[in-house]
Amino acid sequence: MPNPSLIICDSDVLVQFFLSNELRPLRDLKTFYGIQPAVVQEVDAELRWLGHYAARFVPQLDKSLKNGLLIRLDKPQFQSLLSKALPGASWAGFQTLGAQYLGLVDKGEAYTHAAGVVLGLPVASDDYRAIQVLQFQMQNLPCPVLRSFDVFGFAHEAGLLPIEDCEKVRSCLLKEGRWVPAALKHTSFANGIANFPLRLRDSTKAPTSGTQAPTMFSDALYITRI
Amino acid sequence: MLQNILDAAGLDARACAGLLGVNPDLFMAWASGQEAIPESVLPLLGAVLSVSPSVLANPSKLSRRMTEADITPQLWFKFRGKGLVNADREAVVLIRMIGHYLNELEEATRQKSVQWKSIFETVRNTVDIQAPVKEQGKAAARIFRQSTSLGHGATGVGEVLRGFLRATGILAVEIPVSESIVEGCSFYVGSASSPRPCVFANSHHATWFRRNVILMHELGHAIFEPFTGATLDLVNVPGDEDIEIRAQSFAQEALVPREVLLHAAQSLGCKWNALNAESLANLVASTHVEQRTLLNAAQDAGFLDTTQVEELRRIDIAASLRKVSEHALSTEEYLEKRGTEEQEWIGKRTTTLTARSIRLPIGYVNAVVEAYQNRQISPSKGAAYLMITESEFLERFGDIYEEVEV
Repeated sequence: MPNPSLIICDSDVLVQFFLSNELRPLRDLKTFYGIQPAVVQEVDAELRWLGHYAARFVPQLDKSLKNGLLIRLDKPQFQSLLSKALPGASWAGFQTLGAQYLGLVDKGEAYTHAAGVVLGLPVASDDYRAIQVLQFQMQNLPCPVLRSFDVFGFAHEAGLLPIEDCEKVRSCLLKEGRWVPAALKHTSFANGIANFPLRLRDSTKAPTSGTQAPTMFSDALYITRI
Repeated sequence: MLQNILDAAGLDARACAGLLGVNPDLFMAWASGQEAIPESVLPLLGAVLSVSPSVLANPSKLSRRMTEADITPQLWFKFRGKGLVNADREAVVLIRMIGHYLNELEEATRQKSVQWKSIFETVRNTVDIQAPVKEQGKAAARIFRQSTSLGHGATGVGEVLRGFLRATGILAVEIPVSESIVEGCSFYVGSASSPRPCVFANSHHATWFRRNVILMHELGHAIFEPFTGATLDLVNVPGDEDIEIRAQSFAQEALVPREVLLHAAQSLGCKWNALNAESLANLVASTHVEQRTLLNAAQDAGFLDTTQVEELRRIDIAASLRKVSEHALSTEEYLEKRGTEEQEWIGKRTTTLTARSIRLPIGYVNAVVEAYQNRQISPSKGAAYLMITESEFLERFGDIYEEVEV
């Protein structure tokens, strides 16, 4: 199973990376696995003015877009992906699905999940409440939906992020009052990560029985170094 | 094109960005055409500015052959008028945002109420357009009361008025705009395909009794003047025009028709020719309208003559009214009397992310919270509707997903 070409990131996940100032996992996904982190236009706009953070993340976002760590899924970029997407996928279809999800969840999540579903690509979002609503309303979800700690945990498991740096991320996010998985809330990253089933894993960690393409939002995605 | 529309409407781009929760630099880039406006933003922007999203989506095709008059919606022409300030236009932006969100919410919850359409139609089709304007207003009010629940019983309707408006699909907003000379206004909100009447009362220095009259007056305008873009009523500017006379006569007859006056006076044991501050206050408290409207209604009903009305207008009933009605208390006094629960609820309606903090209508907040509790919208969506952060939303209304982690 080939690696996906992109991971489409929601604002709340990128805020975790920006706040902890730890962008290496995203960079390494691109460098070693050929997976480009991307944002939809709505997330780009959201990150430029986000609640009480206001414009705090603009410098980091602009830098990430400029150096190619992130790309923006605007219309031309989106259409360039259609040849590898599911049959029938289109920009218009993406906009329609996004507008449909927008009635249920906030703009960033709506268009991130819509892009993931239409393009058949994984997304990254920490908003499990939005996932619950979309599920409850019987809407399709991308497969899988990664959480920020899936990416940090993966980076650690793949030997790309030292455990001390993972712990710094955890402490920083706790201090900032951000989402940290229950398994890591009251214990160190090293002690807690084993109790947090990762949805992103290196293919060398795959079970001997083999792996299948994720079909549920909570399935694990196995990726291979290029 | 966006910049042209903003200029024509007299809206400052940065202030507008602040109200819409968009980065001002990004909004300026959209306005100048430097960056394309994302398609997902067009419906909200179109609804707020009262233009078709296609005008914003295809600026180059249109801008060359369009004049200011072509692109400026009537609404904004009205709000550029003499004496009107940025705060007025900003309030309109916020109200139009609420209107758009309400449409979106009703679609998601499949609870769209368009009852107002049939009520308005009934009134318009029944009123004699050749009758004197004052009579038109009165006739409209009588039909209005007959065709709605407001006509049941002969008591004041102030306490059920806002809930009634909400239930029929009318957006009623009361916010204080201290810098403004606008006392009330009415206009339609939402997209062209899904319009909704909106009535607004400036709650700065206007009592609850006065606001009942303003809201009903604006409703009269919404019924009779759907094509004027907006109707504005300014503080201390008497409305002599026909449309103002009609709207006021509608408000008076809808709120205090003869039978309500009769019932109030009888149940309170008031004698019309022996009114004093106390009995007048009791009548105001019972009919839910301000003193002036009450006296005008009593005169029209034949209970008082002009001289009596002139004399009774000069009586200060403020102190007596505060003794008999909670609605006459200041917000602080009211909260002190009602306790912490009420205070908390008022806090729950206050926006924190808008440049101008406002208190949202109770019915609107209830609709958002109910949709959240029914798992029809996510908390972040609810927060966007209430113009607060997600964490504030969860703090105010609880986390129904507390036990869930996926």
